[in-house]
This record gives sequence, C-alpha cells and structure tokens, in this order.
Amino acid sequence: MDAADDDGLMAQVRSGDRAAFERLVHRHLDSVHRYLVRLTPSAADADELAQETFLRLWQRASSYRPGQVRLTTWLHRIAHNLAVDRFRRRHGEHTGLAEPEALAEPDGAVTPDEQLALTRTGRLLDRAIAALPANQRAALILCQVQGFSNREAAGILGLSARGVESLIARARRSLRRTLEAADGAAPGAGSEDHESS
Amino acid sequence: MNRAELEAGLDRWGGDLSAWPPAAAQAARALIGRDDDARRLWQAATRIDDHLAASRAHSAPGHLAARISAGLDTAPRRGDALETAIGWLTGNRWRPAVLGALLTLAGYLAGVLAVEPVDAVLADEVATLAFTDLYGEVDDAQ
Repeated sequence: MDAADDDGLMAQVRSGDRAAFERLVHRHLDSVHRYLVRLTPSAADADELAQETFLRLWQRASSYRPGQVRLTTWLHRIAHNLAVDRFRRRHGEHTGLAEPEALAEPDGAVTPDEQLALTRTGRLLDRAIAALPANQRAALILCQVQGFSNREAAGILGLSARGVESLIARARRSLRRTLEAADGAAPGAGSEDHESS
Repeated sequence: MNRAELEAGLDRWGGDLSAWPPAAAQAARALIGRDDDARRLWQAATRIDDHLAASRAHSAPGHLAARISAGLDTAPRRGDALETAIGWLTGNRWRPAVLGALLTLAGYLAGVLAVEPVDAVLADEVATLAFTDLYGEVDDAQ
C-alpha cells in the first residue's frame, strides 16, 4: 500500500468519486476495524464506529491534507476520537473504553487467529490487554499491532511521542507482570523456549 | 547490565533484542545467558510480542464494506467550501499574511470609495464650531 496512491484516491474522493472511496475502504477497513475491536467493548460497536469513520472520510475529504499526514494516520485519529466520544457520552465523563467482550469470549467458527486466542496465554493476554487503562491500550495497539511509530501514535492520541513511549512501557510492564503472576500460579506454564531474534 | 536494567529495556523496546541499541542488546544477551530469572523476564516479553504480532491478522466482517458504501446515500457531504477555505488558510504560513494584506487593501478601498470626502466632513465640523462660538458669545452678552 502506497501513501501516494492513497493521496491520489483521496483527490478523487474529494470530487465525489465513489469508486475511489470504495477502493480506500477496501484498503483500510481491516486495519481500522482491528484497532476499534481492541479499543471498544463490543464487536457491534467496532462495526458501527468503523462505518462512521469511513463516512467521515467521505464527508470531510476536503479537509484531508496530503503530505502533512498519512491517510491511515488520519483515519485512525478519526476512529479513535469517535470511539472516545461515543463512550464518553455513554458513560458521562468517564472514557469507558472497556474490556472488549468479543475478544474475551470468542464464539462461533474458530479461525486460526481465534485459535491462538483460545490458548491459555492468548486468552490471558487478551484479558490483560483489555484491562489496561484506555490510553495505555491505545498506545500499545497503535505501535505494536497497527505498526505506527511513536510519533504517529502521538498524533493520533493527541500526546507527545515521549508520552506514548511511557504509556507503552507501562503497558508492557503490566502485561509482563500478569504473565509472571500466571506462571507463578501454574508452574511450567511459561517455560517454552524462544529463540533470540 | 542487571535485572532492573533488563526489565527497563524490555518495557521500552520489547523482547526482540534486534530492535535494541546494539550495546544494550549485547549486554542483555549476556545477562539472559547466565541468569535464569533474567531469561524468564525476556521470555515473558517475547510471548507478549508474539501475541501482539499474531493479532495483526484480522479481517473486518465481510458485510461491513457493503454497509459502508450503502451508507453514503444517507451521509451527504457538507461544509466543503468552508473546509476548503480553512484548509487553504492553514496549508502554508504565508497564506494568513496574504489574506490579511488583501483584507487591509479591501478596507482601504472601501474607505476611499464609500466614505464621505474628508473635505466635506471638515467643512461641516468648522461650520458647527463657528456657530457654537457665536451662540456662546450671544449667551455671554445676555
């Protein structure tokens, strides 16, 4: 995927080209949805917010500034703000980006990804990630799953790059402590070797 | 490197030692090689990294793209002109200065073309002052 291609498609979207819009949806929907699934309490919320995110792209295409920010960063910023707004409204001032139940209790057909989540460590980590404070979770997912740099994540979250780095470090430490506690409770559970990369 | 420093590094850079600064990575490898607790710390960090990496393979529900496209009909674009103007203004630093200069020029031209000539205003003021003084003297005399 190429940022220049995205900018070219956005120029077409700005002039009302629905085919260009659909190509952008095809390119970015999985990524935006993956972020929202981790950020929001239910799969239905993630679906609705993803839809709203792309409708904003359509409605506000003229406010996108090519060269200043990558389209994927712009989309994630919209998605993040929509999620925060929705759960702030729902829970008053509390941000309320709560535990994603879809990840905590997967159901239906089991895909290879879900199979991993069904393992003991996978479920434990999913729950631990969901239990992280919302800003730590968002920073961790943006950088470690979505592939943004600290600086880009800072732009999405409205923080400094140093602030994002600190959030990620705290999130990692919290997850590591969870694993260590679980390994302590179940001896040998975490003893598999990993090769140094 | 001691265990606390290893932990700080794992929190900051993760379990993939190739992503660490070379000197720190070398020290971490040495510590992991000789200290079982350090090795367990590193293994936990690596399991977290692996789990996060595995969650990158995610697909949105198949119906969602069609639902989004269908939603365009009920989501008309709005504010294009205003947003374009704001976007133009914020696009480069010289643009607000140009806009300010244009507004100043427009104000000047409006003043020249629409306001009463200065001479006429002055004449009225002089006349008003002259009559004021005349009536003042009349009042004093009475």
